[in-house]
Amino acid sequence: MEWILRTEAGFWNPLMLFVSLVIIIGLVYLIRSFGEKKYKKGTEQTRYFFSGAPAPKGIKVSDIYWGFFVHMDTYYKWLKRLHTGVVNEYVYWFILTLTVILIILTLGDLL
Amino acid sequence: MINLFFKILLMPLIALIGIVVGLFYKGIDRILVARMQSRVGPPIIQPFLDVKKLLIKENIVPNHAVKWIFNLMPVIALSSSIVILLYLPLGGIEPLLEGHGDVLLVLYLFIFPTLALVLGGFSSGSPYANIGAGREIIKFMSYELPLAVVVISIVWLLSSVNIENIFSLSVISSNPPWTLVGPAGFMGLLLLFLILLFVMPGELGLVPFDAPQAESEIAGGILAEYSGRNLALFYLADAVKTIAVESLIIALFLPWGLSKLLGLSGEFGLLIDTLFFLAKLFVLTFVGSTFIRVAVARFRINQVIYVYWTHCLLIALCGLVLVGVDVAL
Repeated sequence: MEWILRTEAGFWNPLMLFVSLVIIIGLVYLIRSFGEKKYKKGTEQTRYFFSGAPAPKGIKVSDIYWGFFVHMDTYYKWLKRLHTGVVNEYVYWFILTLTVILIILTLGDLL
Repeated sequence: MINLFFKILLMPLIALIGIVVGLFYKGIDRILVARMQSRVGPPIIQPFLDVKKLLIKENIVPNHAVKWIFNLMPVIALSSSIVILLYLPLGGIEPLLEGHGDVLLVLYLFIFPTLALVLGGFSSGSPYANIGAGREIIKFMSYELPLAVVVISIVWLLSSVNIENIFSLSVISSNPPWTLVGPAGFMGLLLLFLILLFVMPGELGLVPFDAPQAESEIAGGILAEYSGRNLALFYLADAVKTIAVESLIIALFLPWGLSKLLGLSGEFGLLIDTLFFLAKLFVLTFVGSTFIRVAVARFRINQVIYVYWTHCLLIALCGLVLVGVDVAL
């Protein structure tokens, strides 16, 4: 039984990928086993490093996204403007996107 | 079945070669950077000594870390980096898993070390690691698009000249794209090659795209809380990924061997091709890593997005158009 999955021109073998991952993970765990396992639990060294400043309290899980909001600010402002909350406009966007995709597919077929 | 068994036996050998060559080139990179900065630099075996030192250090797990993810991600990062090597042609040797995966699979596999790094950072429970992980995933989203454009351009060029199995890395490396195009296509390929050289430091987290690990700003970022054997695994993953990225660039744009030119075959031809492959690795390490690292400063993360999504993407698309025009003519 052939395990290779093929498309028009591409191919891959998920079983071989899985087998190779398992073997390499085993090898990596072997390398890891040569390392020191122990550390001093519950001491100063297990507190996270914050340049010596007191650890900030009450960091929420939503703060994880702070970096994205700050660095992609322009993109998020544009997205927020698009989200008017009016259902009709979302339907128009859907139809517009579908139209563009259909045009691309049709042109692709024709060419 | 015997063939499969033989391949499974060779996997640890490829892993070992990837690790040793990766660390060796890291050592060369550090010496060259030091000399370019008028310093003496460490010995060439310094990366090996670093790994040895890290393995004897304590493996501290922070109080607020998600322990199982924190410990698992370094393993995933190194494992996935090594598995990528199994699908790439190395020197004059065909990929070990030839016929079991194409270039698209390799592109997907490049995601895993990055994701492992990001998840490791988020699981650290540290504000610095949090910031670094957020930056890393933003950087990843930025460089994937120009990278995809470059790879698809090469594959599309091969399909337009009616070559079969266009996604196979053996076929790609057997058909250097430069020999398939005229002047316009040559310019296009040159632009695509330059963009891939620019994606390389982003993929590897090198200056000017090392905002996620900014040592002077966020104290190491993603890896701030990692130590001991976990940090050693991430260090090894970085070394192996360097070889993987450079091998991909060589397979796409610089696949020639010297053995055919010199009329050599057999073991001696293989040796010459391997040495030539190592020389190409050195050139790519110098251009993509050493020189850029010494010459420029670090980009801010918003500048990284701007550079990849506007400049690099536009240039890559221009390259694609030039190749398309050449094929049409």
